[in-house]
Amino acid sequence: MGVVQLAARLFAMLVTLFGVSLLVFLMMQAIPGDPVDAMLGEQASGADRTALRAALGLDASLPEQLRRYYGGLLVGDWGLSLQTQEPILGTLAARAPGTLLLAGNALVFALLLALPLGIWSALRPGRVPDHFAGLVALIGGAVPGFILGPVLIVVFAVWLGWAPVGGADSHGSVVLPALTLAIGMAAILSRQLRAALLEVLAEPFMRAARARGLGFAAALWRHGLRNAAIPVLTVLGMQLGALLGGAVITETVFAWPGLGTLTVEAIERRDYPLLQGCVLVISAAYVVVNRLTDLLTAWCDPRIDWSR
Amino acid sequence: MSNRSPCSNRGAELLSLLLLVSLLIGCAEQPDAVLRVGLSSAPATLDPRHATDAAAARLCRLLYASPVDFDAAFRPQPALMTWEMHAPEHYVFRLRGEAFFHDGTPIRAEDVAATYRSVLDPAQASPFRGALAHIISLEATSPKTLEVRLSRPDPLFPGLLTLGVLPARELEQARRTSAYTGSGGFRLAAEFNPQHVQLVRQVDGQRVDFLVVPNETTRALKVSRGELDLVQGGMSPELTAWLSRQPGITVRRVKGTVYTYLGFNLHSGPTRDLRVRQAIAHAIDRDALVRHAFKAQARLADGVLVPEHWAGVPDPERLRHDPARSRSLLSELGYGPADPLELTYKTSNDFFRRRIATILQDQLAAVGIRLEIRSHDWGTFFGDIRRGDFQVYALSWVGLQLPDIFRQAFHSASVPPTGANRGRYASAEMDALIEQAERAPDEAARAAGYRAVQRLLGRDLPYVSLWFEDIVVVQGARVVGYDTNLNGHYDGLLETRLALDEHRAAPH
Repeated sequence: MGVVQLAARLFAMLVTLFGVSLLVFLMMQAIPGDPVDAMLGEQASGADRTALRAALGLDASLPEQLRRYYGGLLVGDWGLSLQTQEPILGTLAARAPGTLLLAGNALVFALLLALPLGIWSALRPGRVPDHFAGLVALIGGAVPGFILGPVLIVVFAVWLGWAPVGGADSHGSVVLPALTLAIGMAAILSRQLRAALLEVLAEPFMRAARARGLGFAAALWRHGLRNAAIPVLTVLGMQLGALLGGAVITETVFAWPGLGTLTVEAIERRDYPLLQGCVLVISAAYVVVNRLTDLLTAWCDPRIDWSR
Repeated sequence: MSNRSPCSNRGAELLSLLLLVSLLIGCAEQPDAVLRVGLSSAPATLDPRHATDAAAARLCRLLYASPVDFDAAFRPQPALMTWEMHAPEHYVFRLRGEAFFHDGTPIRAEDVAATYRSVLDPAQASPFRGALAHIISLEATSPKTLEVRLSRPDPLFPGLLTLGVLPARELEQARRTSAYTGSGGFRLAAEFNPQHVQLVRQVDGQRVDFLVVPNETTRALKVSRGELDLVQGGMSPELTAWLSRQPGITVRRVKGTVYTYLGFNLHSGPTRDLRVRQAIAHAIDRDALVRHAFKAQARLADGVLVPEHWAGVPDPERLRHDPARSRSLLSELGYGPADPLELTYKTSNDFFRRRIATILQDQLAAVGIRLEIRSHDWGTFFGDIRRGDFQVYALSWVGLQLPDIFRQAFHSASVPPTGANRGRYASAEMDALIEQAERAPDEAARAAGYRAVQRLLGRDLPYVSLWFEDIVVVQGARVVGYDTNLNGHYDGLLETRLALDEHRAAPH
């Protein structure tokens, strides 16, 4: 991919982010409830409400509010949280490491589960290992996080005592929430890998590699998995984007302090600027990770021609 | 095609990360000398001028001393300050003895004045400004004396000075922060992190950590595993019943003041008619609701204030469950099986509140009232209630201490947006009774006045009182000497100790 194509991709990403931010802004305008009510309570006078509305800029016209919003975004001033009066960017930055840690661990666990399952079932299609892997993937994909999380807590924290129940107050706390997210991811990834690998294993270049004297494992590793990785990477990118956006349910079940729980808190407190920031970061993470996945895919597969 | 794949070279790195993560599993042991308290939601701030959520208000109480507090009957009593009422519009407060901020500087009357002046500053947008808006002036006439003048007589005024005192010098700085130098029994041990608030007890350095665990099942499991030592409230009766059967866990119930009621729209729709409200009131079997839905972890309410309150009604007339009377009232109004009364009931999307709604729906169906339940997220629900866009709703009042609630919720001048008379109840008799009680010369006369207000509420039924929820305290075996009160404050933590030698918490 040349510099021009890369620049075009980046430009497309910026346009997408602009669209997302505009949508987020308009959504916040449509949400029911008044932030001034949430801040001042029921005893405030009409004059106080009017004054606060003016101070927050809520009395300005929509285009003016939009101008201030983008002006702030561009210079890194995302405003203050209505409840804490802390800078929103700082609040988001404080929670982002939690989400990154959780998503990173979930990704590792998902790959460790999906790779053996996918390879195993692709190498034994239609046989017992394939059916077993399919069943595991089906269960993993079908059980939602709010069921799987508590089940993992009961088994690994309560019965076996191998991990804490929840929270982020000890290092091992990340294991169970990451596993909860990973199992769902692994289910999809393993099926994707199986399908891709079955296709690749039937390709002539695999037979040619074996004919050149390459062992089965080496051929699988060097040629099979690399070629099967392309569609898997695309799915992985989408899932990782969603994870970085904050796994709201899993973070809530495990009391994990990430962007997901911050979003829930912002909703509960009617803290619109903070909610706006959360949604923007979540959307941006999704867009950026997907674009990066595109780049990675192109890097892995030189046949992809982005100029077309 | 190259044999070197950039993708496959990441394998070793991934395995290393897994190994690291796996190793961390065994490192989950937590410090034993820390008392860990579970919270259902994070405190928004530790600035007492903005602390409206329960967690923030309770933590602020531990961090900041307040001029005035309440006794068990909710009478204002001196805390940092005593007071004299020179006139119902003129009070003089005096600091009692020596009190200090946590940095060692003495608390002066000027600090109290600066705190309350900043609450009154519109730029602060404090939710407490409305209640204190009748303050004309706050003047520290000496380091220990504060004079307060009001725009109208307010015999209950000292009960409004319960916000924690902040240092005047810090308030002079323009920017608001989440926490100031404190003056209470605890101080912050680390920078304010809403998810994990770390406090240290001033007298002996005992660490108390407040950890946010939003999911109640996770909270219960953390207590059962010894990862939390104490949880107060916010758990369903089923979970507390389960916890009470776990070894080493103690579950205690304390009478609470959280008042739950059914509210009616008195401005429009069928609920304008008193007979409809009476029919609904007699159709509800509150005993059964408390017994089954709450597993008896609540007591029936027959008024807004608890009977223990100085202005409460000690022996109120109890609303009877009388389905026959309900049917008869509905029949009088022309409703019957062929033409049933149809109402909408609004509630939040909280699981327990929706369950209560379905039970009420069933009870009202038994007398021929069709109740349609509409549950919304909190913002939408509360916005509808404030706008008067409802027929019947259920809500709770939390932290009621002063009888000024009657003005806020039932005076005709308190219709939203400048009050909490959400049902648009307008009664000249009620207005006169409230104003009369407010002007009463002494406590006995005020109490009598407010009891008359409550009798009228029982007759007009703008609310149907349901129950006062108990405060359920769940504590692990290490906790010794913890107690709470009607308000559910964490004051008991000032006396609590950990029995470390007998029960070493070792989750792993």
